[in-house]
Amino acid sequence: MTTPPRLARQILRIILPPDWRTDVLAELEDEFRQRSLNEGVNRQWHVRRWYWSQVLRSVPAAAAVRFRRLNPLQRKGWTGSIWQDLRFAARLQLRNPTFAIVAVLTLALGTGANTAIFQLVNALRMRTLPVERPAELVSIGINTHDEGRFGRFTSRRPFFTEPLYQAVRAQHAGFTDVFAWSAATWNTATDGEFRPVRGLYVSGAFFGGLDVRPLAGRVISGVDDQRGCDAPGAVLSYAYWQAHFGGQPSAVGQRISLDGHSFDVIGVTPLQFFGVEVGRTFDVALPLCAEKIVRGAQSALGRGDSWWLDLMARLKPGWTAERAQAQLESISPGIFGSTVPAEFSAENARNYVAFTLTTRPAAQGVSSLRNQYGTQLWVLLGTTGLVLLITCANLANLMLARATAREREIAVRLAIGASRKRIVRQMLSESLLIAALGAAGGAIIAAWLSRTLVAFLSTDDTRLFLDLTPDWRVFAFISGIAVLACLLFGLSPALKATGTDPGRAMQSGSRSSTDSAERFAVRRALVVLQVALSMVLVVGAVLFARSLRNLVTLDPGFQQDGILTMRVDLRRASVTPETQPAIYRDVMGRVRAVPGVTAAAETYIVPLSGAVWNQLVVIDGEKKQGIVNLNRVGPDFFKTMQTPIVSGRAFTPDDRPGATDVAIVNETFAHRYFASENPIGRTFQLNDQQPVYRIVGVVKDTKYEDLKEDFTAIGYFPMAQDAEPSAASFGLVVRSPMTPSALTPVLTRTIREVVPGATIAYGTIGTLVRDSLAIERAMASLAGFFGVLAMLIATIGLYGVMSYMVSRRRTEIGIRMALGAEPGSVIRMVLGESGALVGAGVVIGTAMALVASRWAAGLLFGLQPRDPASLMLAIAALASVSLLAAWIPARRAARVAPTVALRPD
Amino acid sequence: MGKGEFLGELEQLVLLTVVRLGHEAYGMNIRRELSARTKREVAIGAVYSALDRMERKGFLTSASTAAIAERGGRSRRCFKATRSGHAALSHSLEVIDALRGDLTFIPRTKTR
Repeated sequence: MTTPPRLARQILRIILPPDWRTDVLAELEDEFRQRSLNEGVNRQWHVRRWYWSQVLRSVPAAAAVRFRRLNPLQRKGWTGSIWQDLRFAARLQLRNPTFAIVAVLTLALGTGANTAIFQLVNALRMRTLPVERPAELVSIGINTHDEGRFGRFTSRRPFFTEPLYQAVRAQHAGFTDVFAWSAATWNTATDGEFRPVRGLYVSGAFFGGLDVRPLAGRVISGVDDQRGCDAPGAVLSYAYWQAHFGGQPSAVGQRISLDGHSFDVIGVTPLQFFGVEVGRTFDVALPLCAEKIVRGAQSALGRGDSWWLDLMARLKPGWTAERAQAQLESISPGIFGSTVPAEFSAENARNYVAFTLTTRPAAQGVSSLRNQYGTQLWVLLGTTGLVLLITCANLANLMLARATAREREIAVRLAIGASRKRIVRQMLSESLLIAALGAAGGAIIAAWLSRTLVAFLSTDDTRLFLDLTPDWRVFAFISGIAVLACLLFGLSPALKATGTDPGRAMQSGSRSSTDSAERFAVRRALVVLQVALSMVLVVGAVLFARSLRNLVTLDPGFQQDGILTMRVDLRRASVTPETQPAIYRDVMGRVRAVPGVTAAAETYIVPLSGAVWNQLVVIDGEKKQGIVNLNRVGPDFFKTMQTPIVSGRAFTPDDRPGATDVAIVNETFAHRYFASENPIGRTFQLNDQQPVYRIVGVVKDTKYEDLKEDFTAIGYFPMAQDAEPSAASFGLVVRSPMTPSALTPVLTRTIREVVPGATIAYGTIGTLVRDSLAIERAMASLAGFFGVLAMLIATIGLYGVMSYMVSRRRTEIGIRMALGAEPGSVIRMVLGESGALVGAGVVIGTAMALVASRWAAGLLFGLQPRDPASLMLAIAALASVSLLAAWIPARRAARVAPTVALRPD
Repeated sequence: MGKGEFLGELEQLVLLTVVRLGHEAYGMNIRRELSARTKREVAIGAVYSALDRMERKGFLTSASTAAIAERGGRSRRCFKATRSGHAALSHSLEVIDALRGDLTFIPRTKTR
């Protein structure tokens, strides 16, 4: 780790005067690196601590310099008096710091949470790609007119086949460049371990089309990407170059091993460049032609049924995306007509020829995360917005109380001739000071929170990469929030405070006009508002928490704990389709014999891994509705997964090539296609292809692609009856009570004894499940956190108002007690009053929650957004916390001694 | 002599270090030297703050060096004491010596 702590660096960046900034940051970084090299690997935290201490101790000095340079005496007129106001406000806050600290902290939390979520929205949707003239970029897609595409799908964005790409490239008119890319994962290790790098296959025009210039060496260009290339070069990303080649220029010319093939490093891309897919980044890029070398016989190059590419293009000057789209539409019939794969059935081919090409602006890049996280981010932004509103309502309440306390001061100033405008401005500048400090604190919280969120959503498989450095939009957002907050909580108290008649306010001994029912009504209304808004948030928190609980406790149809998954890559091993069955048997025999392994089975597709193989089925010559998910598994698969067999039998070693082709289906398959009939003994085909499978068993429903889907129809076939066994890789599921780390070295050794060149990637079903719930977990945690925060702030507001009410009515309470009222009846009176406020808030809040929950509907699993139990739970939580907040002032009221209360002031 | 021409304690220490370091007087190096000699950790911000004040008073000038290869082609800002800086430094040292005189109740510690 040779980079200084980011947050510390960011803080220093903000606080340093601009003319020192570069020097100080660079020198600190140099020293940091030096210390980092001198200290051992285990003592890196010392270096980080040193950096932090340097930063924190530099803050006062830097702030003092900035303050000194803002010499108020040199400023005149309007700005000068603003400055005076701010200094006065600052002095005032310092005299009574508790209020200022509470106000700034709550505002910082509110602003920080909002800004953090906004930073994610900004990074995901608003930032343009860090390339030249991003506005000229368009993404090319296919309108399939709701018909399916068939074939093999690899990579994250499998929208085009290579022949289609070549056809588009040859026939477009509106672009200076059309370029293709495809994400892949490669293994850099050569010792049987799996050390993944994020790879990118790019066409020759990719870097040129984006206008990305190399930082060192050169980038891939047209000459590198020639069909049949034998020694293509690899381009490294800046981050990978730093981490694995020490950022040395000599990296260019070195070699890197990817999936066992060695490539020359030819260049490095600049720091900001992460590709064109927002939310992801890459480590190494290879030209498209290298795919043939890496994937060998599995290569998608030249195959019309292998979908693996995504296309982008740069518009020619004078062309718009619409005009380019019209041109692409006109050439679509020709392009699709000339690339129909021979394997397609007549119906598939007919659909395929009717496809049309589309374009859409891609200045912000492309991203599947926008859809995936879109709703969640807006819901979160709404949530944090509510938290901010509650915070502001609470501050307004506190400010009103303070305005009351300062009434005399203001009356005096008004009486000696200050204009009302001047005093409102003075009071607003106080709010502005608090809001600005809150926003500054919020910026720091946001920097930390947004990074934490990204880390929270990243899983082992899919590390998120978002550029979160604040840009002008983030600063505009923060400043906007600060001004808005200041007006929200500052304006009404300022106007109210100056609205009083100085004469009345200055009457000595009077209880002053603050007692006016009107002003107290404002404070009570603010409490009702706070309770109502926090009701919305608490309902949201309960809904998301219960939704997560439903997912976590969901029965996926198998016993998920204790299953280790493995993918064994055989491409570097000398395995042929002929030797494969014997090798599988040998491997399986040895894996089962490993101490601690209770069951193991081969499988094509590891459940919940996201991989899918599906087809339409034909039963008794009739094509059936609905797609069926498929898998090919070893005899012990159901035993390993602990999926119960409902009827019939499991696969046995007797299900071998030459014997009857058999299949096992799940309950959904059986119900959908055979209704109440017994499916055992019935047959089906995939599409209308041979062979015909005879159903020998029915198993319980299981989740296939991910945990949130409804149970789908699944058909299983025995591994041994695979007519075209793959010699490239196979999957394994292993059940064992041992921890994965104890088991994996033994398994690696065991398998490599049989197939020395094998590379093995491990995982667990538990991790797959946990990772697939990352966003739900994040939503539940955040909603819970904000719900509790909102409730806390609202409770403080309620407590404040009730305390004030009790102190205001001390005399009245004293008289009541003197006349014989029991303490119990006084407590009831105070609780009754607070109960009315909370009740009103809860009623309004429930109505608001019912409306708002519509937006959350799509994010909930296994419960309705208007779930009555969740509503009741939220009401109960809010009511009991409020009761507690009112109890303290109520008890105080009950202890009022009449003699004390009635004594004149 | 006006008030602005006196040196604060940290200013004095920083200015001494600048003179001592000669051509190697840049922020981090000053900080390092100061920390080593005074045996206390000094914050880089405090050093720059003192340098900034003294530059404004005209006791120091600064200039960027040529690009330095080991720093990835970045340059460095180096400081130099001006004539009035030297004068202020010697003046404030003289003042200290004059005040100290032959006082004996301050034990003289050995300097390195």
